[in-house]
Amino acid sequence: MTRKIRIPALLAVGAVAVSMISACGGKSDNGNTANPSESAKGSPTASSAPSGSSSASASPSAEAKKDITLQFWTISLSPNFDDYINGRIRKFEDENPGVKVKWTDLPYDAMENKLLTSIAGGNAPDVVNLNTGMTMTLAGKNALVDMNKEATEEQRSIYFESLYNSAKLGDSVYAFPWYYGLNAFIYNKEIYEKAGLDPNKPPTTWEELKQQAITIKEKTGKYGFVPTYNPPADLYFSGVPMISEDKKKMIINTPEALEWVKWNKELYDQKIVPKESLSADANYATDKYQSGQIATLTTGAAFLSRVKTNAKKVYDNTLVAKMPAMKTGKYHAGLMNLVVPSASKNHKEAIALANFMTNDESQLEFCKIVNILPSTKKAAADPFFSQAGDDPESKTKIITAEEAANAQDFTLGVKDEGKILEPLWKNWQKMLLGQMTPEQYLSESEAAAQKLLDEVNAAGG
Amino acid sequence: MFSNKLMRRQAGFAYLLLIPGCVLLLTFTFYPIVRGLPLAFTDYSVIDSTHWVGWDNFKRAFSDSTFGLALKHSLLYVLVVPVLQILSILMAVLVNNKLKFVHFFRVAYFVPVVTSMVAAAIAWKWVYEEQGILNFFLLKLHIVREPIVFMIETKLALLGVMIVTVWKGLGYYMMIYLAGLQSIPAELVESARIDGAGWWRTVRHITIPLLMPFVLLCSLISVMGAIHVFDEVFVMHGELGDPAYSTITTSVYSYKVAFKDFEFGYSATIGLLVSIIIMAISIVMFRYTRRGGLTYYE
Amino acid sequence: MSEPASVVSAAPPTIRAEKWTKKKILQAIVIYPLLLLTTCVTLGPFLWLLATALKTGDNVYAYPPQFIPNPITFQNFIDVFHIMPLWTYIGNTVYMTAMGVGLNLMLCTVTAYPLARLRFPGRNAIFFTMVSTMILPNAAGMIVNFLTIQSLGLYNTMLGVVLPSAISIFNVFLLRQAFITVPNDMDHSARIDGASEFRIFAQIIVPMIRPAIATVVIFDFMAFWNSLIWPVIVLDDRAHYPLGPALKYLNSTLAYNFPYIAAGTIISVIPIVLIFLVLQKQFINGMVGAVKG
Repeated sequence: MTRKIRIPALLAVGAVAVSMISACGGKSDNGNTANPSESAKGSPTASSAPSGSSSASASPSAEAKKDITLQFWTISLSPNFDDYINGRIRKFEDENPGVKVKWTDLPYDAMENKLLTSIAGGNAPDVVNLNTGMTMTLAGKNALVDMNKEATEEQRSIYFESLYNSAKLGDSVYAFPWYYGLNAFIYNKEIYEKAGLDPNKPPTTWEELKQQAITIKEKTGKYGFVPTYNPPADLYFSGVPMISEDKKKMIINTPEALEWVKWNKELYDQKIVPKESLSADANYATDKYQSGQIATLTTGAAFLSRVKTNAKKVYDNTLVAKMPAMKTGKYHAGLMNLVVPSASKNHKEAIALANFMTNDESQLEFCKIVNILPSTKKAAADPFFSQAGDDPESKTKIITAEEAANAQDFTLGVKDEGKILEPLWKNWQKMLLGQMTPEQYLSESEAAAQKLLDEVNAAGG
Repeated sequence: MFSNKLMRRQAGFAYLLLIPGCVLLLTFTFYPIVRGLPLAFTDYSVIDSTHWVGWDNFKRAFSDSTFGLALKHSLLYVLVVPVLQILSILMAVLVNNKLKFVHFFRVAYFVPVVTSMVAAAIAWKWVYEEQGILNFFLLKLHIVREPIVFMIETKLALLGVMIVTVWKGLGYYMMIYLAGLQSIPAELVESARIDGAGWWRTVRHITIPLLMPFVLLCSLISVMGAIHVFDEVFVMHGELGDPAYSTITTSVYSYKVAFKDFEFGYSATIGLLVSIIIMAISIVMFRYTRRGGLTYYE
Repeated sequence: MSEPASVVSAAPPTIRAEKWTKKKILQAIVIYPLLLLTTCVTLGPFLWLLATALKTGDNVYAYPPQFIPNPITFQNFIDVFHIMPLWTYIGNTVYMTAMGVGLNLMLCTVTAYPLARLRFPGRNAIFFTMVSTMILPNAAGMIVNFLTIQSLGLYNTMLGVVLPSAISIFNVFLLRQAFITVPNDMDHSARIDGASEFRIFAQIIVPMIRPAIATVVIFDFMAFWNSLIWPVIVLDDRAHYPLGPALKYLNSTLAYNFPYIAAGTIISVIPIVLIFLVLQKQFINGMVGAVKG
């Protein structure tokens, strides 16, 4: 019996040993990293605005100019783009002696958690990769540096104005735009032929797109396409103003809006699009396309490379055309940004890094590795984006680059816009499921959003 | 029976054993709770300045229809508990036999427990999809004429998630019950048999009473788990509990409020309200099961 | 080691009295199909992941779905090891898990024992306070614990990852319930013989609850092995990440490959299954022998 006891006992002893070793290791580790001197400050119950105290501390460190380490956080770019990012960082460090960059790439859903805890702990990163929604939420909480105030005209001027203004709140802009993707009309030739449609005549309007989808469903039983709904942006690009000039009034319930909502409702009710579109993301759409279950892939050109690696047969049957433009003639660019948290201790260097990572040279190099589009004027004008290739992927590149002239991200340009727009998302599913009519959808969402906007305006003053 | 000295020695030993654990619990469990409670009365957002808002968050919660919905779903979720417990006891009894391949079956039942939720969600979506495996069988067996889109039927979506919870939890509780069954001294069972007790009598008078501490433990854990269900919903239906909030639970909602809207204050309020409800339920449960589970062998 | 208590069987009473062979037949026609059916349900989705991980790209998305991969390829597994330094991550995970499980085992056992078997003032109060923390909200838990870890100088260390969950109230609860089931005459007679309290604890009572301890080890192993968010928050350096968060990199928007995710999942599940196999033979079956001996 005593023999049997030993196993847990050994484990226990082992654990003590391990934890002691690690405790020692921990201390030596800690010597290398930034010491958490500010940890006392970020107490959760009484955290005074960190922006005030840290911007004050920014100037002395800028004077010192020596051995600054910038924390640069990105969202799931590793391991695929390790070489690219590390290469750019090395170049930046060479050009800026005394500045070191520590790159941390975070898994997609860990960003918010890590960012918030770091800010609370007084160890905010210096440059962070965020999408526009997150950028606006943080900007609304005064957590980001205003680029209009702190960046130079030279730094700001390299971007397309429409993309740069995506992160605009009042007179301030809180991010440098980075990369984005656009949709091309990617379709399966075989399914088009089976449906008796001419593969050389892809739709040029959304009405044609709908008619073709109906034909495909009737003739082949397959779905025409998988819409990935983004109700606020979709409405905006259909010509709905969304918000008044003075940012006081929501304008959602318009004839254009009703037309768009009904267009979607009809397709959904007639089962021309899968019921699962309701909560589908680009992964769902891509999976269905590469298994040959839907005729078209309208959810982003970057996904085409996935089709190429995963489903060669479908890829070989793939044709590409320009995506029909929405009513406004604009295309929705789901933008990735680089922001500088105001809690960063080195605003100047951080802005320089953010600008460097998004400059013409950096972006062009990035676009050459993966099918995305640059947010800077010069990079977009590069012959790379007009050089013809015959395979679907390079065609897609050219097509999306042409669309880029009319690309824009959608924002309301007010604080807490995520919250204000929530009714549009929430009710959209109810509407599609038949719990609401399209008319109710618009009137109720508008009223709810207006109420939230009033609250925000009242609080924000 | 024992001398006072012995009692004192025992108490001293008890405190000595308790110290390390209690220090850690105080630091990493109690302290955050104590620090977190006042947040329910603030507009704490981590990043922006914090103000005392009194009962505002509570008022908001009472008029927040999404919170109401989330609470309803969380309480509804407790329905998984009896199913989960009864099935896992049966499974434990089944694999407590001396059978060929019993180790294989134990592993097979335990695999869902160790599969990460992300992977499990991908697998289950494939089961539930319009062109998924479940519809494949339902259509083949002519049980349905049209495929059922389980993921977006508002009436079925929550049930679908509950099934995943049961699937993932069975092996977990089976393990606890198995440990419980195995620690029942074989002599007790054997002597009952010798006395002529049948299978059911043995189960009823020996196995079940001795298993009661485990049943209490598992039920409590599983009720907590059900009310606080997060992973399954979040991974399968997102932060808003698609479709149309039909799967949103209090944990998902409070996560969304905290980490998407940065309203930690309101999130803390939601947590507090849920806790009050759970406390009420627990008191009832403890009262009800006191005789079965909390008695000491003294 | 004697055989397990097969007497607690699911066999109906009528059969029990009859011949042994009949019991075998019953097992074959009732119990095994039941076991197999359950296996299909529990293992089904997992087998699909396994099949996916073994498929070539074209077949992954084939419709109607391919149930048995043909041809079978191990390329996805090889690729995953190429894409990321998986051995480093596995090493980190083993290190973190060993530390976490070891600490838990020690701390939870010593905490649960007095709560179940020793008499001292405040016992119930301590226990109910512990249980109540399972109920109370912990909305700011992650942030507060992060601040604590930081002020202890444990940021970016594995100890910082492990320490907040080095003792789990659930485990304490589980072990306490197990300690309670041990009959009282065991320590009674030992006390009369003049055994020290520590000896009674370590050499008499703890061995009695080895199934529960095995369960705790398995559950903890799982919890640490699968922890996703907290390590990312405490650790600053990707090279120190455990497997769980590291595998999430396979799930990125710009480079998403489902067979890789499936392969990564399989890789991460294997060690837990192995531990489970080892432990359940070592402890659970050994238990009956320990009681009898």
